[in-house]
Amino acid sequence: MFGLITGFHATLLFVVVYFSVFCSTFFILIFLQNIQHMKNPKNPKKYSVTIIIPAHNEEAGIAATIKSALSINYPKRLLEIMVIENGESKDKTYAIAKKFEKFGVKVFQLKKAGKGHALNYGIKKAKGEIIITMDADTYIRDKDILHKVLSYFSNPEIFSVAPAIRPAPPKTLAQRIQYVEYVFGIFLRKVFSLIDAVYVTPGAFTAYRKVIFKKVGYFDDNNITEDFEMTLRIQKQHFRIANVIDAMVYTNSPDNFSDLMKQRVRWFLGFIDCLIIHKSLFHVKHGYLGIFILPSAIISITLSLALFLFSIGKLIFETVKFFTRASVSDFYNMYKFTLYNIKFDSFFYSASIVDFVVVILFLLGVFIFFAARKYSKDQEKFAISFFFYIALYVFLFASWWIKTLLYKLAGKDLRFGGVVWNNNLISKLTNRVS
Amino acid sequence: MREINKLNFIAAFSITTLIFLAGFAFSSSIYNSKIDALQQIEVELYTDNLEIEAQYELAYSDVCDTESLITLNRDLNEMSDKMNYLEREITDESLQIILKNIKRQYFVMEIKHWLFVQRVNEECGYDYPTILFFYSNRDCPSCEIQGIILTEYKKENPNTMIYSFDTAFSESKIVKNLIEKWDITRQPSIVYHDIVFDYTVSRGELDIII
Repeated sequence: MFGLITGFHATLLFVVVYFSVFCSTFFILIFLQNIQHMKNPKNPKKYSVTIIIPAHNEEAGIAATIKSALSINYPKRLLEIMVIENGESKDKTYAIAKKFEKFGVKVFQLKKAGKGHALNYGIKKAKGEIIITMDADTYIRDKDILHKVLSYFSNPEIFSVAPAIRPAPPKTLAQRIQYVEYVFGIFLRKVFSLIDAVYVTPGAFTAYRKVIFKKVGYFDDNNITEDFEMTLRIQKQHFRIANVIDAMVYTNSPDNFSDLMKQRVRWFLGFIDCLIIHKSLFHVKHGYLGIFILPSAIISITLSLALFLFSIGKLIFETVKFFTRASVSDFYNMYKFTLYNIKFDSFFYSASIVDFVVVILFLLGVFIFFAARKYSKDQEKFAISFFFYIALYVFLFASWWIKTLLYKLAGKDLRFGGVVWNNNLISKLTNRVS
Repeated sequence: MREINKLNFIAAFSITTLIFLAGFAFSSSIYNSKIDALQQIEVELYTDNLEIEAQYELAYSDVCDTESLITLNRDLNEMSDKMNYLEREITDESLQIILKNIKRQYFVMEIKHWLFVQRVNEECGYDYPTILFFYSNRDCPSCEIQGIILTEYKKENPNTMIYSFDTAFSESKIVKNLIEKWDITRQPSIVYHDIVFDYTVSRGELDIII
């Protein structure tokens, strides 16, 4: 049986590595074919813009968020900023936001909780022809961000534009790993936008033509990942979404693994529900999104979980074997025995196809990472973060998904943003936005 | 309907396959260099055996000279390390033939060393413990455990000489003779002072026996 596990593990590893190299190569090819599109288009037109910042229990970051919005280099007469406190925050979110009214910020208070609900309220009240949704724990350093983002609306086919999202400068191990993850995300989002396959316009900061909400509907306030759900609706009707790789927006990321787990479980629960609701996107008529990007996402998750579980099985097997040996020998000498067998003579070196290809895969990853940093002009120190990402991310990713699936199977409700989210999929299906 | 450029998929598939083919070529070259190394070992071992023959002649002229024993021990230990690795790592049938030839020469080296140590013990009044360890490479997990125990024992008692013989290796007449001599029917078995212990001897029991 153990031989079976080892053999299957080797085959699975082969499949995972092949799939990973294929996807990485595909994305890099798209990227290289479109290097000239890294430059933002020129667009002299000035749009009226409304930035909507929904907030619930955000006293820690709301002030910095509003200040960064106010600091944007854009004609004030064309810029409207709204803060919509919702769900009767237990902290001073509303009071802090109110202090900014003297700077022209409009502050609203909604009794009903829910980010989607708050956004819809703001959209209906907004005067701007471009709506920007912005999280209350997000901040902008690039004062020219609006010029960059809005330039893409010169193309009448573009209805939504997202910038590059990055976590705030990392301080903890969990944040370091997320930093590298987001940098890879910067590259992928740009590539996806080049093939009209963006599947999430981040709630942290995304610009929409206001008319899109008349065409596809407002945010689904029954959905825990309303940004993801909105994106899929936009894609369903083949409205185009652009990405600005050098317009950087910073968001606060969980500083410990426990909060990170909660965040990811929430994202992944939303991911599952949204894909089921919009399963018709898995079709060739939706281009790369339908036949490659979305299926690849599911394949990646499945393969990661399978590889993780088989790796754990193999690790348990090797551990049992190790301790079986240890049980018949002096425990103190157990480690001496293990080290004794390590040799550095080249005769003892063994290399398989997978060993070689994993090195290539690593190099492809390095290329993607540096390309993302170069074009997004990111200058964060990365060496330690990259090391921990390589060492730990696969295990973290698998553990988030395992917890998500267990959560889903258990049907437990989720509390977030002042709302208790019903985990029952059937309920979500009957409530979906048509 | 959104457009899809199939060429991108074809290019990505082609490049990925090329990478794997390069990996295959790399792996094959490592494998071929292993074959070369094995064949080289086989040749070197044959040459070494001739030299060792001469060393034994010299050693027998002054059996009690410990320097000779140290040199012969070192030669045998080096060969033993390589044999352990080869047995563990080489599973390919095409390499088994070379491995068998190396194993036969290794067993001959072991027997020569064992006979020499017996002589040293008899003539010089030394008491180097010698253990003959009979194992099988085929479906014998307790053989591996016994091997570990003996390896550990030797680390703590470097004067102990342990000689390992694969009972599944039917090509070696020496191994056959030894099996017949002590009527070895089970694996693992160890022989110490002509007494056969045909079960897995624990670490503690070894201290008592030896």
